[in-house]
Amino acid sequence: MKRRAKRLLSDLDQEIREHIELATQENIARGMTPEEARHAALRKFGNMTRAKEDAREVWTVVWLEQFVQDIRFALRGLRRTPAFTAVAILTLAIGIGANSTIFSAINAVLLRPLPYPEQDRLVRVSIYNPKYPRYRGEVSWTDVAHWGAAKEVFEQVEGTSGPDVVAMSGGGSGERVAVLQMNALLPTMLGVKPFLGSLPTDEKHEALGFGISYEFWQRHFAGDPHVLGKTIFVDTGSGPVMVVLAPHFDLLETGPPDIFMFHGSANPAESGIGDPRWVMAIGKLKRAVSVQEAQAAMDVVEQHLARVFPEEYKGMGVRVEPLRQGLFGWSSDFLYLLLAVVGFVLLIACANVANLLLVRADSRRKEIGVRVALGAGRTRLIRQLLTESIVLSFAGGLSGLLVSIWGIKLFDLLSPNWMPRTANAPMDARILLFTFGVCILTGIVFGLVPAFRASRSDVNESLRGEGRTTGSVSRQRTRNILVIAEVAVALVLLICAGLMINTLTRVLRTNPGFNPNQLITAQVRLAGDKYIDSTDPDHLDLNVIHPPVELFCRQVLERLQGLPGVEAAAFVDWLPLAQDTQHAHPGFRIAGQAPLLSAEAPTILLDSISPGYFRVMGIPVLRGRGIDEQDTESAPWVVAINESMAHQFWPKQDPIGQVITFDNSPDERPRQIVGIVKDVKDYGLTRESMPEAFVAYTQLPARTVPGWTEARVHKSLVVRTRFVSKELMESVRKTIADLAPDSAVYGVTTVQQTVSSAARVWSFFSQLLGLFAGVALLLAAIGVYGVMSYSVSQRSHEIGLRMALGAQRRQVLGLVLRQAVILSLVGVGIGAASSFVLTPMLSEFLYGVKPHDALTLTLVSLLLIGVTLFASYVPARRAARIDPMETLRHE
Amino acid sequence: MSTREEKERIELLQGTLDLLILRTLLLGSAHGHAIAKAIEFNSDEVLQVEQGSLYPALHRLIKRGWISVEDGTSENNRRAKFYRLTAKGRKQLAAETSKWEKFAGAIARILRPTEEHE
Repeated sequence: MKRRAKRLLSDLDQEIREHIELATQENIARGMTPEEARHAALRKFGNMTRAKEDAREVWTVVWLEQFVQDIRFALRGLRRTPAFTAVAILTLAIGIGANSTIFSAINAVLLRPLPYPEQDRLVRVSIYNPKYPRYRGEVSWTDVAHWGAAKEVFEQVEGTSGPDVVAMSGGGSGERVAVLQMNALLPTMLGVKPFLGSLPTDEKHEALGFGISYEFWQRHFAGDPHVLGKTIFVDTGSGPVMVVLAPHFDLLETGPPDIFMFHGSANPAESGIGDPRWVMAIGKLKRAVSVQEAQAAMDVVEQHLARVFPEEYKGMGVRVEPLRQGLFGWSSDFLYLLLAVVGFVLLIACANVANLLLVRADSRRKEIGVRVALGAGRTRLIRQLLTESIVLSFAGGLSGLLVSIWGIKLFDLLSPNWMPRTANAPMDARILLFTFGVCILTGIVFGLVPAFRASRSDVNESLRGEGRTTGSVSRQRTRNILVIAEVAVALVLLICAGLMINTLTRVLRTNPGFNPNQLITAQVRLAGDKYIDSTDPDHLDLNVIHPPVELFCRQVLERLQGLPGVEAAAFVDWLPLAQDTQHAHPGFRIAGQAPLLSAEAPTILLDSISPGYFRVMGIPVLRGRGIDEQDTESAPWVVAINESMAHQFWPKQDPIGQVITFDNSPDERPRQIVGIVKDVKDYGLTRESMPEAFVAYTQLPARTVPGWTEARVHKSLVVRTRFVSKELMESVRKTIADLAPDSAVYGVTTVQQTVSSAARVWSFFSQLLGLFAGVALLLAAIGVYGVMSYSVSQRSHEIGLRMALGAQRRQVLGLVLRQAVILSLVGVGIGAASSFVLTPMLSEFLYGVKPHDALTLTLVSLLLIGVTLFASYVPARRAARIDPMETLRHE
Repeated sequence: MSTREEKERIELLQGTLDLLILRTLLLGSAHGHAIAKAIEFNSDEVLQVEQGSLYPALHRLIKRGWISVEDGTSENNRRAKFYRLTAKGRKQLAAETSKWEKFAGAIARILRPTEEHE
């Protein structure tokens, strides 16, 4: 402020006094008594403080000065009422913390830039079926090569597939490792540098060697500086370590893979039709080319490809989108749903704090009255009260950030393993800004109504009322509305949680098609030259599976039969519902029918099993027979099929006796169908069963296509036991490990556990929604308790009178409880009505239950009404204990 | 007292106080109380100035450079602030006055379109 202004203001007091003095003198001259004269002059002058403040405002950046003043004032006030402050901050910390947590997850998965230089030039290129445009389809190495030729928009397009969990051998024991296949140029394109060694250069579409991740190097090789050149054996091949990649290279953000297997790029002219699509294509745009331009160019390329290779490309769309969206866009639906849920929780928290503020404003009416009497303007007062609530919400927000640090860890812990990891993402400016915004908004939302109400207080009334505040009707109405809103919002959340839990129990109760009880399972991944030969110079496109695979299975089964507690044991390639399964899914030809184009050839799941597998798993054989001991290598080759396969391919005939031939090996023989078994759930509890065929592990071709080698050397053991015990699991593990010392034995668990893991995504949703709904319920209960307590304390006088006039305690109890029931019933009604609009948004996450499930609605409504009754019972009891004599004495 | 209360009094319109202050100071410099009194007296006591609001208005005019302030002595022989119109203020007053006359004329024409002669 300028010196002139300072002087003017400091002289203002004197100036005003002089003004009053002169006016008084004039009044005396008009014939008033000196006292009258002075009063009249003062009245005429008006609000002196206000005049001074207004004059001050002319010279200052007022709002800033007042803001600082208001904050100081708010802090002082909050310190004076520690209990109120603590409850309010805690409530807000929970509400804001939940929001920050979910936003942190959204930020980590969808918003923050990828850790690659020039990440804005990276895109994912995927194909989609125009019928399901939201789905991002995987592509083939051939597609990658075709698209990479679109040089007008792409600098390059590279592919990656996996991670595949395979076995690594060497050094005495096998280990399970996650292998990511990729074009050798992909890391360089992303801008990832080697830590040791150098990346191979691109030549032809064949394996170029191995890279390992920094993390695997540390874990497995203890950071050995001489690791380069050491040979790694994985089942699909062996080779030297050529490069250790830079730390934290984690493309899919589900934890860095262990091994990178590098390929050259495919030659589109060489690689043929039917190249399987399991690759993800990542492209780098040319400088100054936008995603839209690339999309337009790819549309043209796609049309061209559809003309040249109609079998591969007809009726297909190609999509170009920013890499982060391409990688993780699928998760946005449910993440934003969660954000809406925590938004509701925050609303309830706001209502609670608003309630507290209303009560507090009542106890402060006198103070506010005095301030109004001393000339505080209404807007000034509202601004001050709002400042107080914003100070509160910022305190809540700061604590909320602390809550979210812990919350994001919990989120990460609960989330399924295919969710990108969220815990490692640092807290960044975006999260802080979001929380800041939420704080301001929150402070205004919960502070506005109380501030308006408080500022409207009648000076006379509040100054006159001595302690016995009657609490005006409209004030109580505001509180009631808040409670109704809380109950309504809590009901919506409870319904969501109820639907989710309902879904979970239905998923868990789904019949998987087999009996998981009393079953132990173990996974083994046979590794090494003894089992697979991938170096046949005549047949690079085929892997040879050696007889020791079969021998190993036979020996394991024999030894297990001898274990005490084991009833029966069997092998299958992949246990149904197991994670990371890589079933063989060959095409096949039905004898007597014309062969179909390979693109249109039917594909099915194929599993080899040991005799007794159906019995051990409890899978009923519906017709014919299962696979049994008579099906040896030299006997006629046979196949058992499931119901789905029978219905799909022989809708009108009896499939038994039909002959089919699989196309996954030149050594395949025609197989006669000997039996039909019941469907099992293979890929998920909520998915329809796929057509599936089972063959004897003794009737398998010696050579197989490399992509399906995995299915041949991976075995899931299932053991039916009399009694599941840790000891038995350990002896099963040891039996296998002894027979295949170089191979990886893992996943020794109960089959029941595998089934539950298949429901993990629903338990994740249920846990989160249940948690948030629980918090909402608790907050709503606290809200009801607060309002009822306050209403009782306000009405204590009235209740005392009623009792003095003969009302019974039970009647008083009823009086209070009735009020609570009415409030919660209205809330439940509104909540139920809004849930009709809101819950359909959940439908894509539900299974076996409709979004408007009457039972769920009824149950959660009863629960909510029960809880509100319970919350108001304590204040009701207090009301019933009011001593009428006390009241009368006060009169 | 009572006769005064009976008189119909009009609260000042927003912004007109500034104009009245400038007009009053056209006759010579004056201190706060004198300005307030002059406005009320010259309006035949119809215009009601909440005298307190006079001072913020004076400060506002100083800030804009339309009036200046100097120390002087009041009728009571006490130290007092005297306000004086500046050249800039004079120009402003002329502009504001003509604006006000146009405004008042327009309002009057709307309110009494048929009684122009009155």
